[in-house]
Amino acid sequence: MRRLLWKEWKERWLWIALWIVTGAVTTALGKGQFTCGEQWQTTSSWMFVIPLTAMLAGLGGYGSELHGGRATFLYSRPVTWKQLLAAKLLLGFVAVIGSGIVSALAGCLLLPEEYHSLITPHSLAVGALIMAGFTAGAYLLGLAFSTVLPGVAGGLLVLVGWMAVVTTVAGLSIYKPVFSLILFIFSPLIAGFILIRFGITLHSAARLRRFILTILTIAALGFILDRTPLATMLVNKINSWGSKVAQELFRDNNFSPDARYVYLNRYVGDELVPCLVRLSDGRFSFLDSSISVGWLANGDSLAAYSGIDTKYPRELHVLQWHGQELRTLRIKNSGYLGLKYHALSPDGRRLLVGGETVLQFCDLTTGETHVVAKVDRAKLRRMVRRDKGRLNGLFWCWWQSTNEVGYLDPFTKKRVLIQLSECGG
Amino acid sequence: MMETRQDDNLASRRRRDGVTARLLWKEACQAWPWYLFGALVAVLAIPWMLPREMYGWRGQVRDYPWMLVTLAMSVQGALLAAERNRQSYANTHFSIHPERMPAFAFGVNLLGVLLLGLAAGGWFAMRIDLVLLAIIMLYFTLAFLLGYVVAAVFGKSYAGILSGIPLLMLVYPQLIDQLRIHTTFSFDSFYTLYEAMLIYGGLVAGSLLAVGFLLLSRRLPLLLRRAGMVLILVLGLFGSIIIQMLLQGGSFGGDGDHYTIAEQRLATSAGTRVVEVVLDYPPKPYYTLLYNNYRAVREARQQVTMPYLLLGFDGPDSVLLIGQRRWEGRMHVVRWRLAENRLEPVFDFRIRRGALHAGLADSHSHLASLRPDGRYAALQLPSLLGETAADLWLLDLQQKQARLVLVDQQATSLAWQGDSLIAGTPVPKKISLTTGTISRFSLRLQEVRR
Repeated sequence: MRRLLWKEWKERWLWIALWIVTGAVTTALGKGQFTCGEQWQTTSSWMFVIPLTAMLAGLGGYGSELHGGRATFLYSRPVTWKQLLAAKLLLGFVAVIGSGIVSALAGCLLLPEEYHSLITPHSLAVGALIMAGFTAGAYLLGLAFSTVLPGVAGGLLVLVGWMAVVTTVAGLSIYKPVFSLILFIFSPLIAGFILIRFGITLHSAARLRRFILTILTIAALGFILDRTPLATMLVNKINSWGSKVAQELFRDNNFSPDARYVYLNRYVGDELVPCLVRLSDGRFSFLDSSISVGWLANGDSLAAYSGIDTKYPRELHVLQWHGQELRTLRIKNSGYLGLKYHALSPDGRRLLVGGETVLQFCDLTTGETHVVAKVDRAKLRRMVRRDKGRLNGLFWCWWQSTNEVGYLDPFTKKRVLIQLSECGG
Repeated sequence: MMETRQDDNLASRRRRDGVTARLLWKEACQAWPWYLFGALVAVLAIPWMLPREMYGWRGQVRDYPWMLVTLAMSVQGALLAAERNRQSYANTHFSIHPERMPAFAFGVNLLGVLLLGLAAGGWFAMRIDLVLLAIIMLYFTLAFLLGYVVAAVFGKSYAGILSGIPLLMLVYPQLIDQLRIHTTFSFDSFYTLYEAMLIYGGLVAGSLLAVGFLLLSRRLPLLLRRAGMVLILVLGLFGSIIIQMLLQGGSFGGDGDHYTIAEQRLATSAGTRVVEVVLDYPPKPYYTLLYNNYRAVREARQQVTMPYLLLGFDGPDSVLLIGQRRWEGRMHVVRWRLAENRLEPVFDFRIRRGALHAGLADSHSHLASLRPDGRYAALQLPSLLGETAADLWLLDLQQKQARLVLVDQQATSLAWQGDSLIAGTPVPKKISLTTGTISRFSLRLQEVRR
């Protein structure tokens, strides 16, 4: 066994070293093994480079035995398939542990100083365990792929072919793969094990045939299982996010600055539905369509409908809570106005909304809108062309007092004050 | 006599054609599995790249085939380079120049990679934009060429195979992002696409020149040949970076953060006091902070060269700003005294270089908020630890301290509730302002009529 281990080490020490060094370097750069903070996952896709190197180390596993009858020679000696497999697994196990420890050390010592306060034994242990799971899985898969064609390149070829089929199965839109996908992902491990046990000394073409046949058999089993009620149960289980209060999953949580309300997209099944929540009592209402939301100082929400759907034309809405009810106030002719340039009157009853060619105010109690000022679009565009790179229009507006509004004239850049009574307010 | 010479010429041409055909056949026999798998996987991957929004594991799975094609190309390049100095059947049996066989193999494989790029990107590019075809072809060619050059430089095939890993780490995610973003036809993505094409182009040109140098410098010592290849490759890369900088018109004017800075606007509820950032056109190496009190008819201007984020109004006559120069490892908190029109430093704290620049370049990842009483502020900037996530800093403006409270997560909003800061992360977090402890902000929902 010691000699087998020595053989494995001599054949693959470079791949193992690459694996450990990659882990240490990516972690020191902050992109590899997770070392600090409270969360259990990282957004770094660089992290997957470490399992990739582990897979490369695994891909070299049986490759050397498949060249020129070396496996036949090896089995002619007092060596069993179990011993050979144990040696390869043991080397991988040592590498998994080594990589975890070295990466954790690299993170502790080399990450910038500001992150050090967030590195704890708990965070280090969690990061090392997660990475150990990924790398061990990748190594085993690599080892399984290495049993088919000789050399690392051969293993890589089989891997490419397998990935192509997995992608096709995953992307099938005509039916939802559940068991077939899960079994397909794990099938190389079984196929590889069968080859290790019964087929290492066979010809390459025979090994490839057996490998493909085993994988297809397992996939066929998955397809059959997909037709059973068990698959439906599993799909429902997976897609039950958000259907229970205890398992809330949200996206795009947009809190109002005073944390009284939140606009969020909530998972219902596998769909995201926007809703507005009052945080004091948790009351919420689903909204009709995907919108952008801004917040007014009086707690109302100013929502802009995107207008992609003809059912919901491009328009501004004010969403107001009245007791237990959420009321929607549509601001007429506001499709061309944005969320950025608006002003709330000092008494919180009227909203002034600036746009490129029209400035208007809305009475938040009745929903009536009144035009304060209007400019000629063509004349304004000519001016914008001359004054390149500058935003121009009736965007700059304010409340001079409760009954008087002001705006900057887009042509003269002078302040203009208007009494609300002059524009029908 | 004449006839004999003609016969000799004909025979020599036939021999040459025969050698070429045999060399071509050899390449076809050796390399066909690579290109078959490559073309199969690449073509399979195309439809999965089309949807504009791809979240979750399906989107991730769809990225892998091209990732594997990248690796396959690196491996193919590396194996080809490793084979070039081996005694082969062709060298022994054909009376050809010693560099002809490797040159021929290189040419045929390069053609194969170009065809693969065409197969992979053709349909996709025709649907969206033909410019994408160029970047896809450049990318696969780059994977092959880098594998070849690195293996030739180190004289080992595995060195070339490993060259695919940094390519996957650094270049591949950007390529995929650009292809995805490009489907939305945003100006920014178009800009970065050309930027990336220039870098790929520089590297491809450098690699091709390096291979050319290798073929033509047979009489030079091996060490010199290898050093020359590295030099040419590096020159190609730096050349493209310099061209890109020249096209951008210097480091300040062409930055994406220029636009994000100008997008900022700070206004009171009634719109009477407003702070904006004004840019000159064409861009100058400074920009102007403009304060207007429309009700009291007062104005203040400050010309600054440091990029600032507007934190908030700190009182009736002051505004808090936060800024960092691109290559500086400190973040500066500054108070703009409006009455005296003076910028006054409050404190600064250590942060990684380029943090603010990274935040400004990605307009979704930076957030800044000031508690209404001006005691605390929160700042979110892209994280060193992740790619799409951010770090959240809590600034105690009274104690003049900054503390990193959340890492590798991205909040879409920040809110203040009593002695806590609420971060709108996917699982909302509540952060105690006094102790810095983090707890889950629980949302208990009950539906109401609308």
